[in-house]
Amino acid sequence: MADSESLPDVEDQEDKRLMGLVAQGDDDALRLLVERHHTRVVAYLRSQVGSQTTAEELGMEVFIRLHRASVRWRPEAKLTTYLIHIAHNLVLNEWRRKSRKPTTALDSAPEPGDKSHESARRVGELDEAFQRAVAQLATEQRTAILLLVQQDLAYEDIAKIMKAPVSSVKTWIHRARTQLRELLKDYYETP
Amino acid sequence: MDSLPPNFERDLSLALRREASTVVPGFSGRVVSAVQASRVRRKIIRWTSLATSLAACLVATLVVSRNRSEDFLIRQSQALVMSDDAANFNAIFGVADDLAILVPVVEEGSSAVDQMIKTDI
Repeated sequence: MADSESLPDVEDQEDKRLMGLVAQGDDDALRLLVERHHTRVVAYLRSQVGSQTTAEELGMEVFIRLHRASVRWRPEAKLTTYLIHIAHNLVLNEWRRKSRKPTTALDSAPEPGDKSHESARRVGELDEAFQRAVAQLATEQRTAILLLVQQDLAYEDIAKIMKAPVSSVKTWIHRARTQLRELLKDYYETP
Repeated sequence: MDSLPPNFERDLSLALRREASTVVPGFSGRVVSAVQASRVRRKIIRWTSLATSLAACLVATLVVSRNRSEDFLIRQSQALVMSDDAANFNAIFGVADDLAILVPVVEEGSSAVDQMIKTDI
């Protein structure tokens, strides 16, 4: 138990150390930070915007903004929470830019050569079914369940990112689980 | 409310986290390049701004110094014009001086003329 709690702390300390170096203009430290966190950030963005290309573009913007903010950044919160916060704001901007709030994240057709779709085929039918089901959730429910399960954030952090009370977050997550269970009932029904 | 199916939570977590472990090749390199490009762009903007300020100062200096030279030119021109007027006056008055020599001849009384006036023809 102590090991599992101390590991994230060690990672967080390393993140903070790297951020200090980034603030001094160390590009290698920035490269390391990006390598450590880009998978989570891009996955979150992709789950929200439904396009790998857009997710990567927004992901780059997340790290560019992180770099720009590195000088005034204070290590009060975890860096991962801060990154997802930036990513979430960019998602909101992206939806605003497209002048529509998508009811599903994957409502667009997969792009040619979209690696995430190819990998989804590889990882199996159930994974793909889950991702499609999550994409069909209402925006708030999807964001909340992604932040909880995929990004491993605490309810309080999710509430801060979504600018909503913790009680609302809990409700969205409960509804998301119920909806997912309904969408995936074929996979869990006993023959 | 129905309870969640067994393994549901684990499957959900695996499905979403597996997606979050997909490495994007060359992503960190692209980010660092973008940051370096942005840094160069900011530097260019800063230098351009400085150069613009310097150019503005230079133009202001030139304008001020030109005003001074214009003033000088105007003063010189005025002096020239005034000297020219003086020359004209000089010429006129010079001629007048010359004419003045003749004045006494014209104005002096002539006994022959007086005689002719008095004579009743």
